[in-house]
Amino acid sequence: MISRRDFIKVTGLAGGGLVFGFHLNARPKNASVIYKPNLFIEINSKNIITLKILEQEMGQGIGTSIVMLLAEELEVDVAQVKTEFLPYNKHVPNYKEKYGDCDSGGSYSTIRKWESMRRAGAMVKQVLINAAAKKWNTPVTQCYAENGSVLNRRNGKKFRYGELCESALLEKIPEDITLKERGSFKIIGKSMPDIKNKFIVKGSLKYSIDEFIPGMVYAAIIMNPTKDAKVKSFEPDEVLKLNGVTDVIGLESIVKDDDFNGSEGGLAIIGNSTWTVFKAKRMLEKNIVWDYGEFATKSFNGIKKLFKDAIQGTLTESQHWGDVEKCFAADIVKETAASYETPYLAHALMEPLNAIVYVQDNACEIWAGTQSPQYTSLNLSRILNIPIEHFLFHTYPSGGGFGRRFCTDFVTQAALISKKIKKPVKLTWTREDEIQHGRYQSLREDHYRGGLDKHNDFIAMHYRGISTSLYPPGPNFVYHVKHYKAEYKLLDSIVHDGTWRSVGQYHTILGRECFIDEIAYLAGEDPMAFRVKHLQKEFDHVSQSDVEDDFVKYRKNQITIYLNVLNALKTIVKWSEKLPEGEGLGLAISDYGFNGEKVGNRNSVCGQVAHVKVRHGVWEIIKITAVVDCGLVVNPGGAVAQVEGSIHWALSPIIYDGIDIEKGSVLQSNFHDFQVLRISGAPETEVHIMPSSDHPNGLGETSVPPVTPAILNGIFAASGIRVRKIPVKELKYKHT
Amino acid sequence: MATYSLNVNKRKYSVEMDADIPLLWVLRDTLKLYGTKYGCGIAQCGACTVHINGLPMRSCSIPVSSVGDKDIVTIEGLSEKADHPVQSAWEEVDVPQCGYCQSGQIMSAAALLKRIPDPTDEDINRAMKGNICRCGTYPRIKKAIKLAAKKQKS
Repeated sequence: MISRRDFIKVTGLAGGGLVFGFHLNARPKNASVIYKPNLFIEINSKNIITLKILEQEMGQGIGTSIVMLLAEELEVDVAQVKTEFLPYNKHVPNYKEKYGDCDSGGSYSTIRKWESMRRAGAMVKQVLINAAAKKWNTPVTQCYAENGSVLNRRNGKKFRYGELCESALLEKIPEDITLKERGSFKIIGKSMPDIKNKFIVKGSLKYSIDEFIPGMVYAAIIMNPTKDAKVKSFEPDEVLKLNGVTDVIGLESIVKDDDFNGSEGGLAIIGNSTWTVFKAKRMLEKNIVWDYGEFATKSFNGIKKLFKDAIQGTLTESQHWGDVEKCFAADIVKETAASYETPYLAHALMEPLNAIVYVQDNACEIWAGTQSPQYTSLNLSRILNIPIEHFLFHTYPSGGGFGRRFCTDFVTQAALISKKIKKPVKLTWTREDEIQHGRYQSLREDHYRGGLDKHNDFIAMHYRGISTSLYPPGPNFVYHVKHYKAEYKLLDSIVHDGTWRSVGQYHTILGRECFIDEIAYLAGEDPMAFRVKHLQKEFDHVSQSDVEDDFVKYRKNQITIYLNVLNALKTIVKWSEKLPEGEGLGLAISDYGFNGEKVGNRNSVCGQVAHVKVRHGVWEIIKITAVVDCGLVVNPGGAVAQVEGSIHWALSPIIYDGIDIEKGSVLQSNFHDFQVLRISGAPETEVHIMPSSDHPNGLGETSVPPVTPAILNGIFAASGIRVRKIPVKELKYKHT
Repeated sequence: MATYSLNVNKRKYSVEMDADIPLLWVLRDTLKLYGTKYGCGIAQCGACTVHINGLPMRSCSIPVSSVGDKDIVTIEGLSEKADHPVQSAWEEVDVPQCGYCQSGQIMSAAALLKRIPDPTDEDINRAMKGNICRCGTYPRIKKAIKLAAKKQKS
């Protein structure tokens, strides 16, 4: 967390920098003076304010939120602030400890910038006020800032900020500043359309796929078809005869323990345009003899069998309280068990993965839209053996991130190609590459067993999970239960696993929220009331703790938010009203976020109700209603967009097949066989944001996990059919 | 290689190309009109939608040799000041998230409104289901098309 004046102080230009394009003495009359207190903010004498954004924009609207935070305290209109993306270079690692990474993931960007951006705005505003007071020879208390100017209460005169640039340079950065009270916000909390819109609607927002660097060549890649395949031999003559194809080169795999850092090898085709290398790729694919390796014996059905075998064996315990085994043997009179399954999932982000990289003797320059310029540079620095100080990473908005652009195998590949051919290389993956060489959502099966005692109380639960990812080993079981045990087993994945919007919370919430419904049904209780009862019990239980430490505070706070969200949902959807035959409401709730204890003892919570109709073997969604509490919201319009987007994101894998694998290779290749939701399948959504003055939490992922369990519970409520595996195969989805 | 004369956004271009290169790549790599996007290459996602003689077409699947002297309009040429009713409605409703599919969405929507000035939900679904958005902006697209229809009338 950045405190006080550190934000401005710890920079290369402490106390303000003066930047001219030429020597001071030779400065012509109209030259622009720039007041640049740090790497991020510039004000020039032409009254243009520029904010350089360190976060990665991928559609979550972080650029807009950050400008709003700055503009609020700086007392300027958002439209007056020009934004640019700050490249990652040798200056940025200095910020790591003070300012956090410049990488964007885990729904963390707003949390990180909430305090620091407002402080930066307030400090610069104070410097400008102080400078104006001196010019007028007026006490500072007589001056105030409004609408991009400093005004003088005594004589009504004003200076526009641009006019104060030169004087600002002589001012010290103030030691103590006061931030605005929340009640006096003019910008924060009011919906602001995304600042990128005006470029997007005319097609001029530049993604890295739209970048052109003089001297660059184009590359396409044929990646090894399995995790350990290798090229045995290939016949390049035919493609080398094509107009514009200059080279075909072998590319090594970078094998790392962690899928985040590795990259797949194979063959790279170099040429003078994207189409040329794509065409050559298609021809060359037919002329390669592969050694398919051991992974050629692996298939989706094969690994699913390993899952079935594993659940029969011994698992590792991750959590327990009470004595589950004894309780089931002695006290349980009614019990139920259920298993939930989710497939491997590709991201299918709209902008295919691409990067331009130029590796020179001891330097590396990158032009790419990613979520992780810093992480990527550090990783590449080790792979290429080039010091991190010699990296320059130009960042771009991404055509979708969703976790996929945190893993930057495509950047590594472009770097390896550039190193070999000693030119800037623009590598563009085809859609087929993206579907077949993903960093997929891991595979998981969650097995639950729960029981009621003779008083019909839910007192025992046993969770056993098998997954290709350790994160997380089990669910965060918020509902009170006296005897609990969670066990897991990790199996090796047969493809590369990665981070997929909402990551492990996606599947563990599915199981938790479906199973609590099944237990409520077993007890003959309403799923809403049953959740509320067991949340309340957990709150009481935690409250009895002797110490009120951060964890206890966090747990109590979190449960209170859960209860508030459920209460709001209950009213909004008229939970208790009777619905026509064949219709039902399904409920689910989830939280999402890291380090909740550190940011106001809370994480974001989203509750959803799916109104589902089932008739003649066909299911349809009448409406999905979401209620979110994510603390104070900077941009409500953008927040609602994130919730709508999350709901639509989670719908595709409920309706369409996940990734299928045979002989170690992914069977699907493009949108015709890896289908995603289209407008004709998009349901009505209604989003409510709970008013809150708590520290802002993230919202990019929170609303993904509840979608699937809400729908599956809704299908049960409408039809009595329990669906425990996605996509839903028992019924057909009705497109409008 | 052959020489092709193209009419793009009311300008004439002469390009020397292989006959099989899709129009998309001529627009992007040769004419540097990067507003038209590559998404799938097989006419499944709609990111590359342009107007050819007023009809929405997937430029990734149209060889340059088949275009002839037809009028091609890309997102850059939809309006002079980015004030086509669809563009204005898109900004007003705050439709885009990552924005990558939106050139294609806007071109499909503009063509729809030309053909059906007052589209029903069903018309919208039919005309727009070839355009994929992974950010889930579909509800706002529907809303913006209806707003654009109103703007177009007045």
